[in-house]
Amino acid sequence: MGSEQATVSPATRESPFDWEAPGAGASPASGSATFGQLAWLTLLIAVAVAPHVGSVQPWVIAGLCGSVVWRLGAASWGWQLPGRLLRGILTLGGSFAVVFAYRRISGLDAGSALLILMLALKLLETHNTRDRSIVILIAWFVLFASFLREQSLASVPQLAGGVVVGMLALLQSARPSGLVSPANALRMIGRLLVQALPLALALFLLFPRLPGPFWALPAPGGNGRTGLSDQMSPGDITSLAQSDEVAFRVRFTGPAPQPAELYWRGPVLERFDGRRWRTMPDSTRERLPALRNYAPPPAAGQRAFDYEITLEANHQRWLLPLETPVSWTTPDGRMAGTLELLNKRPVDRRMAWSGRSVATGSFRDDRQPQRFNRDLARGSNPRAVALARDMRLASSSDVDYLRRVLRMFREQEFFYTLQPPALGEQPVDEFLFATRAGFCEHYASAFAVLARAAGLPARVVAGYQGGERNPVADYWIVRQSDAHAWTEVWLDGRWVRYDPTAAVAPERIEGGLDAALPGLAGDSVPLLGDAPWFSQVALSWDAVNATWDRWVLAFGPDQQTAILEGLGIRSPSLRDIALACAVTVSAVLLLFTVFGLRTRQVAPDLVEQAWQRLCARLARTGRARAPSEGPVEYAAAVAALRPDLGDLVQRLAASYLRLRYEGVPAPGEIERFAREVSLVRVAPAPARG
Amino acid sequence: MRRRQGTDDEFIDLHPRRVYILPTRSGLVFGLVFFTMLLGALNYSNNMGFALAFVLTAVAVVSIHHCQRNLAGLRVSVSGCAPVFAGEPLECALHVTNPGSSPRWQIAAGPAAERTTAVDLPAGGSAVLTLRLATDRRGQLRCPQIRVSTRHPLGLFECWALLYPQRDLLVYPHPADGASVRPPPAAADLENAGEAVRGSDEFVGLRPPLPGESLSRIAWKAWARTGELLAKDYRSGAGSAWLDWNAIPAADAEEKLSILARLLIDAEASGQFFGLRLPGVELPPGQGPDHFHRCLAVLATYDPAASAAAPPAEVAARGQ
Repeated sequence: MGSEQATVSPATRESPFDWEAPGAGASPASGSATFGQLAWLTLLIAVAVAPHVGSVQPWVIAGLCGSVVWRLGAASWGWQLPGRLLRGILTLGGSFAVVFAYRRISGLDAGSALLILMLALKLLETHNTRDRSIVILIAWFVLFASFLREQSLASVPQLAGGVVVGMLALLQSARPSGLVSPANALRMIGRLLVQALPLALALFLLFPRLPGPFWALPAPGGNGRTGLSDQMSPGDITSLAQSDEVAFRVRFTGPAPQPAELYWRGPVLERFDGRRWRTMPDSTRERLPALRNYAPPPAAGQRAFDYEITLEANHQRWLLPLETPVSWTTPDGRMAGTLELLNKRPVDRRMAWSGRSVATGSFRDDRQPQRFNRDLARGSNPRAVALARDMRLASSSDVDYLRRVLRMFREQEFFYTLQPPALGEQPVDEFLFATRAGFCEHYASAFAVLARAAGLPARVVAGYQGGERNPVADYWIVRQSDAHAWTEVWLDGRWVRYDPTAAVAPERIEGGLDAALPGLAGDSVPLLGDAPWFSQVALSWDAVNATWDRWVLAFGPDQQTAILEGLGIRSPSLRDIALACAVTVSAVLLLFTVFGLRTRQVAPDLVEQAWQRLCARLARTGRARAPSEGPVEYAAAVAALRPDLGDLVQRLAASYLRLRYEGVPAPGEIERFAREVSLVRVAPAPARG
Repeated sequence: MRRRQGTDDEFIDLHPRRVYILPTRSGLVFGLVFFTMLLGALNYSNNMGFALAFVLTAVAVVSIHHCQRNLAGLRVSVSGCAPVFAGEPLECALHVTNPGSSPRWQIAAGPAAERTTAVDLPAGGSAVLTLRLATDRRGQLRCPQIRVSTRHPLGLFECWALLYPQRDLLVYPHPADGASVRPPPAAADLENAGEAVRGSDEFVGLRPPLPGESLSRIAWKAWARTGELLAKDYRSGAGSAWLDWNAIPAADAEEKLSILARLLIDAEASGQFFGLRLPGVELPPGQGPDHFHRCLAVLATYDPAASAAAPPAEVAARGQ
């Protein structure tokens, strides 16, 4: 016996089936949701809504909880469920409340809130199988929406739980006659899942992925967007340094550079208005001729580094390569004339790409610098300009002059700090002559101004410097707190990197912010941060997450292409991928069909066999059983004909009926029946007068 | 489909080839939602979204096979279907047997696309589903198509097989209301007075047994002696009656049949011997359930229109 649940109890054997009014409300009792089915729905709702709890407004969750309590109360204590009118009012009210609270109806937060409200309302009118399946459906969609917000490794248990609990709820919901035992339900679901996973995997790997969105992405929750931007004022990078958020992770496939060589190049800020540095407008930058032969070939003594970067979504276009990038794999990457590696679209989702860079502190640019590379925003920072002229006059060459400026930062009383004093209208003057305390952007800005004042084309480059090496899995984690700004000066047809921060705080460049400003960097320096085991655990967890990000979340068209290329298809088109997907899925389905149609071994039905044997023997009385004759009828007919056999035959017929139709026979009963049948002896029919 | 399959034998094995499967309405809605998820995941290149959509899609696809395997291979037979009076539900027992070695779940049956309460069958187990057919008119009905179906496991797909049992169903005329039927005025003094009236009081001799004769009435000793099966005949004080179409004072043929049915019921209840006489049909007086049902079967299938060849007396009676 499969289980106790499969047993047909006498009560359910005769189903009150009605040909007169089939279906529609024929069996209201069996159609109503039982408490058990509602309990499964509740569990599924809990799993699906949990990831939204911190994001949607609390009243939405409260409404859902109220609805769950109401529905469960109705199921167990007969509470009155809301009528059509009240439900209509609640629907309208809820929708208006969402619009009022979120000021919009689309977008991730408002959309999730609306979905959760729909779930709550639908739960209040759960009466039959279809209602329940719609609740399950909405719940799965709510779960789906949570992945748009967060899809870290922690969301895997959510996915698994949502699928398993949802399937259990669906299985139980589709059983109007009552729940199946949890063990049986789990067995069925388990079998379904095990068979479904190969198919799901094939679809995941081979279903054609399309690069780029068809419609706008939802605005990320809140406006707390951290990261580099296309402009920099004093204090901007300082505020970034407070954030422990990961900007990207890098894995070097060959040898890794020294920490001091890890300059991740981002926006190149060339326009200066006296206070703020800005990039060129996109349109101007697009018109710049491409750089050619800017880096020396690696053979010429420079070391080259190969690396893979997994960028977190930053909603900017900079791909942040290591300086100086020479090649990159992403087809959407484009090198601008400012040596900015830009993606075609903002990086709105996690993205992986690999590249190669040479470690040089400079690169060639044959074009004459633009006028704005010398622009000082006439009249601003006059004292700095005067200082530069004096120092240049005292220097023997441009390079000597720049070295003197660096020496000034190093030898005079300049401080590297995360809490620089606020600067006013002439920030460089105030910094150089008054406060003398600043973060990297203060030094970079001052250095660029001093260079320009001496007639040298200069600009500020923003990006990241350094990173934390994760020894567990040998990769580097670059956080927002590694954000940095440095300077480039044009000397003899080359842009040369000058990092004034290295002069004032060399330990920042060699050991990171923690080394330069211990105990100050980052807002989440935890109490346990110093314990070695803690950082070990944290790094291990980050390694697992990085693997997840790299292999699962960053899976996309590029990786799909790589799979097919691994199978020997050169530069597969989208059509090839679709074809591969169709072939694989068909093959899997064919396998299922072959196994599904294979006739399964049938357990011999001893009772039926014995009965057929008995009928064959009784046919010798001259009265064979008519095909439409039931056991009782036939036994009576035989008894009428052969009273000597009457008792025996009627008793055997009764045993047959009992064994056949009355639940599970006691052990040994079937064998006893078969033995009795084999003992029946029937003499041929007497001649009838 | 009936033409393709023909009618069915008594035991019907649901061969995979006669099992059909289509998505249910919930299944279609689910398909739509999976598609929406897929679009969303594609748009946002959301791999967790892809994972959810693909796992659910794969589960739905695999459930097709589970659904089909849950129904295919069952053995079904129809029994019962005892005749009823028009207006009463005709009940048939659908025996569903699971000859397989794994349990079957949620097997339901019905005459149309609708399905109702379903039963679970353990390996080797069986169950009886009672089907009720509404009857509104007397006559011989052909057994309607029976649909055995299942939505196991997830309710997204429904798998079904159509059965056409070779079984004629008989519906007796609806008996007229007892109060409204006065015994036919001639019932007592019908021309049958001189005929031998069999009762249960006094032994009068032997006669050929009637089909369905009670065993106690069989003259076993006589059988042992002669080898011929005879029944003991008794004469009783109670009279016997002819229930005659022409004696029923009603204009409408169906009404007459209704009244005859009522009279038959009353006569059977009172233990009377009774015969039935319709234009063109005559059943000699008898007694017992078999006789009773034979008379009712005549009423059920009687065709008044075919009585054009009946004697003129009958025509006169109808003219009243």
